[in-house]
Amino acid sequence: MELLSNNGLCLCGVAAWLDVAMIVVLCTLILAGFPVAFTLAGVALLFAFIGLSFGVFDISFIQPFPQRIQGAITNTTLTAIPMFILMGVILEKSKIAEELLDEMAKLFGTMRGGLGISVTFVGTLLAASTGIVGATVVTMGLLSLPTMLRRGYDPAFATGSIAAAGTLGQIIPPSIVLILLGDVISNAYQKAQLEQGVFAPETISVGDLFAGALLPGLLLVGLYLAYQIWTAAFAPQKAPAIPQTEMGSKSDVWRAAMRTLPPPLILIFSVLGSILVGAATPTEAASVGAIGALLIAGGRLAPSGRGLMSNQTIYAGAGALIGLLLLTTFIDLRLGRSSINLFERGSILIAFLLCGVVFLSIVISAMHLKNEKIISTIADQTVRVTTMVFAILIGAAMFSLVFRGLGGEETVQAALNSIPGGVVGAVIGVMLIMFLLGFFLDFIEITFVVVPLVAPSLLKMGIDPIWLGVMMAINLQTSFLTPPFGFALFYLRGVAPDTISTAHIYRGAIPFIGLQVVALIMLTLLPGIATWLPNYLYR
Amino acid sequence: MSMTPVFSVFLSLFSTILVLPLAHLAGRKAKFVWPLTTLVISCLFYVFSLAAVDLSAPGLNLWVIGFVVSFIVAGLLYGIEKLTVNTASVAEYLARSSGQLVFPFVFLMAFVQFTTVVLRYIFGVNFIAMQESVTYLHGAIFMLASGYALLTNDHVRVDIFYSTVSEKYRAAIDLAGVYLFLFPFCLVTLWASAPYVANAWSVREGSTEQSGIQAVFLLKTLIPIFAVLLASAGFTKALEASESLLRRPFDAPNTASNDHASVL
Repeated sequence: MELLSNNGLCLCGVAAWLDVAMIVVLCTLILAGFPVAFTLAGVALLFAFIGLSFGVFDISFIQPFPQRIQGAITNTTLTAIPMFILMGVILEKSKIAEELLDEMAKLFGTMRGGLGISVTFVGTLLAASTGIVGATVVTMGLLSLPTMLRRGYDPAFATGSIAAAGTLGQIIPPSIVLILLGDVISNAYQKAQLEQGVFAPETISVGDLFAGALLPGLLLVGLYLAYQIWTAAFAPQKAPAIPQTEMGSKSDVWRAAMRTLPPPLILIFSVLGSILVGAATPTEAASVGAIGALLIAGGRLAPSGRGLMSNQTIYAGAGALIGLLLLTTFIDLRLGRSSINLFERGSILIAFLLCGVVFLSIVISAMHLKNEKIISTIADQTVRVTTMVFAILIGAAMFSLVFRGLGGEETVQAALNSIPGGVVGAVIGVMLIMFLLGFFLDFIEITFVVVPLVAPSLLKMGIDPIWLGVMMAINLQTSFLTPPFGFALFYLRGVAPDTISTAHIYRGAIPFIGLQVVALIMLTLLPGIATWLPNYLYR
Repeated sequence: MSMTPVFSVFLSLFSTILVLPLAHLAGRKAKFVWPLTTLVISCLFYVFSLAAVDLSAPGLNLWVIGFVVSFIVAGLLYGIEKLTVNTASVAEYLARSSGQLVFPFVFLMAFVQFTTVVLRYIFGVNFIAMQESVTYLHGAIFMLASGYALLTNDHVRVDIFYSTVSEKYRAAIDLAGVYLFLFPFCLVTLWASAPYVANAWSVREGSTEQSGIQAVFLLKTLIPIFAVLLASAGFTKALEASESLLRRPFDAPNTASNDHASVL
C-alpha cells in the first residue's frame, strides 16, 4: 500500500466511496444469477482486494471470519432451523398437508368464496406448524387451484389467495424468518445499548419475537378472510359456491374432519404453546415438533389393524407421550435426588416403560417412512434447504465484515440520520428500502445483509426491538408476494396449469400486497398489536 | 498470520488444480493455457504480496515454485485431459458423498434433541455431551453438504435474468461466478481458517464444560473441509460449464430444470 500512496496518488476520494460502490456492485452482479451466497462473499473479497490496494482496508477485518462460521455452528437458536425444516418436509412428503386441504375444502366449499377461505385456513395451520412457504404454495397450487378453476373461480383471485396464504408461514410463529431475525435483532439491540453506554444490556429472544408476531400474523389472516368474504359478497361470479350434493353429506364431512384435523392441531399447539409460555426454547420445541410430525406421518402410513407394525403402535406411542406429560405434572420423576419414595420409584419405572413405547413408535414410524421410500427424500430435502440458508448466512458474514472494514457502518448510520423526519422518517425509509429490495432479493439475504446494518442505528433511536422485528418480518413476508420476483408467485407459476397466465398471478397478488401495507400501517398506529403479548407473557 | 511453508505449498497446488476447468475451455491448447494462467495468477499474487506487506499472502518462495512447477510438469506428462476429467470425478464424488453422508444426521439430530428434552423435563437429568452432540450434528449438516447443494443447484439464485437466457449464457455466468466469486471465497476461507484451526489442534481444544465433548478442534476443522468441498463442487460445476461452452449451440438442449429448494 505504501507503493501507491508514496507515488503521490491521492485516492482518498475513491476510498470513501468504496462501501457504497460495494452495495451497488453487489446489487448489479447478484442479478447475473450466480448463487447469492457466493456472490455476496465474492463481491466482498473483490472489494477487500481493492481496498487493500488503496490501503484503506485492514486485512484484520477478515480475520474473524472463521469465528463467524463457528458462531453459526454453535448458536443454539439457529440449531432449531434444520429441525423446523425437517418437520415441514415430513408434513409435506407424507401428504398430511394435502389431506388437511381436502377436508377444509369440503367443510367450507359450500359457502360462496369457501374454497378461498379454506385455502387461507390451511395456510394458517401449515404456517403455524412450520411455515415453509414453498411447500405450502406448491401443495395448495397443485390441489386447490385446479378445483377452484373448475368451479369457476376468477384465476387472479384464486392464485392471489393461494400465494398469500402460503406466505403466512413467514409471519406466524414458529417461522424461520423470525428465528433468523430474532438472532440478528438481538445482536443489534445489544450493540445499540453498548454504544449508548448501557453495559448491562437488555436482551430480546426469539421467543419474544414469536410472541410479538402472533397477533399481527392473526391480524393478517383476518384481513385476508375479510377480503375474501368481501369479494364473495360483492363479486359472486369471482368465487361461486359448490352445491352441497357434490361434497358428500354434512355429517360425513364433519366425521372425516374430526379424524384428520386433531393430530396437526395438537402438534401446532404443543410446539407453539411450549415456546410462548417459555417452557421450552425454540430448539427444544423444534425437536418435539419434528418427532411429532414423524409420528403423525407414521400413523398415517401405517396399516390399520393389529400388530407391531400397525398404526396402533403409533397411537400407543402418542398416548404414552401424553401419559408421560401427565405423570410428570403430578409426580416428581426427577432422578438424582437424595430420597425417592417407593411410590415415586414405581412411577419412574412406569415412565421408563412409557419412554420405551414412545421410542418404539418413533422407530416404527421411521420404518414406515423407509418402506414408502420417502425417508431419504425427506433427509435430502432437509439437508439441501438447511445448507442453502446457512450458505447465505456465511456469505453475508463475509460481506458484512468487509463492509464494516470499509467504513460502511458509519455511512449507513449517517444516511439514516440524514433522512428527514427523525425516527419516523428513518423507520419509513428503512421499511421502504426493505420493501423495494424485496422485489428482487430473498428474505434470508435481506435479513443477513440489510438488517444488521440498519437495525443498530434504528434501535439507538429508541425503537422497540420487538415491534421493529415484527414490522420487518411482515415486510419480508410481503417480498414473497411482490412481482416480478416474489418467491411465492414463482412457486405457484411452477405448478399452475398453462391456462393461468403470469399476468393473472401478478394481478392476483396486488390486493394482498395492499393488505400487507394496511397491516404495516395498523401496526405503526397501534404498536401494541405486536408488543402487548410479549409484555404480558414475559415482563 | 504467518504461513507455514507446508500450508503455502498446499494452497498453491490447490489453486493450480482449480485452474484446470478454465484451461479446459482452450480445448487442445489447454496444455499451454494451464501453465500460463497459473503463471499469470502467481505473478498477480506476487505483486500483491509486495504491495500489501502486512498481508502475509502465500508468498512465492522456492518451495512453492518448485512444487507447482513439478506438479504442472507431472500433470502434463500424465495428460491434461485425463487429469481434468479424473480430478472432476473425484471432486464430484467427494462433494456428493459427503452431502449424502449427513442425510441420517437430520433425523439423528431431532432424535437426540428430543431425548435431551425428555430427560431434562421429565427425569431432571442433563447430559452436556448429549446436548453438545446436537451442535456437532447441526454443524456437520450444513458444512459438509454445502458442496452437494451446489451440485444439485440448491443455492438460491436471483434468476430474473438467468432463467431467461440460453444454456450458453448460463454456462458463461456459472464459469465466471465460480472463478470470480466461489474459488476466491474458498481460498480465502482456507487461508483465514488455517491459523484458527491450527491453534485449536495444537491445544486439542475441547468443550468449555468438563463433561462436554472434547472435540471442538474437530468441529472447527469443518471450516477448511467446507472450503475444500465447496471448491470441489465448484470444480465440477466449472468443468460442466466449460464443456457446455465448447459444445456447438445447436446440440445444447435447454434443460432449465432447476430442482431448486422449492421448499422455502
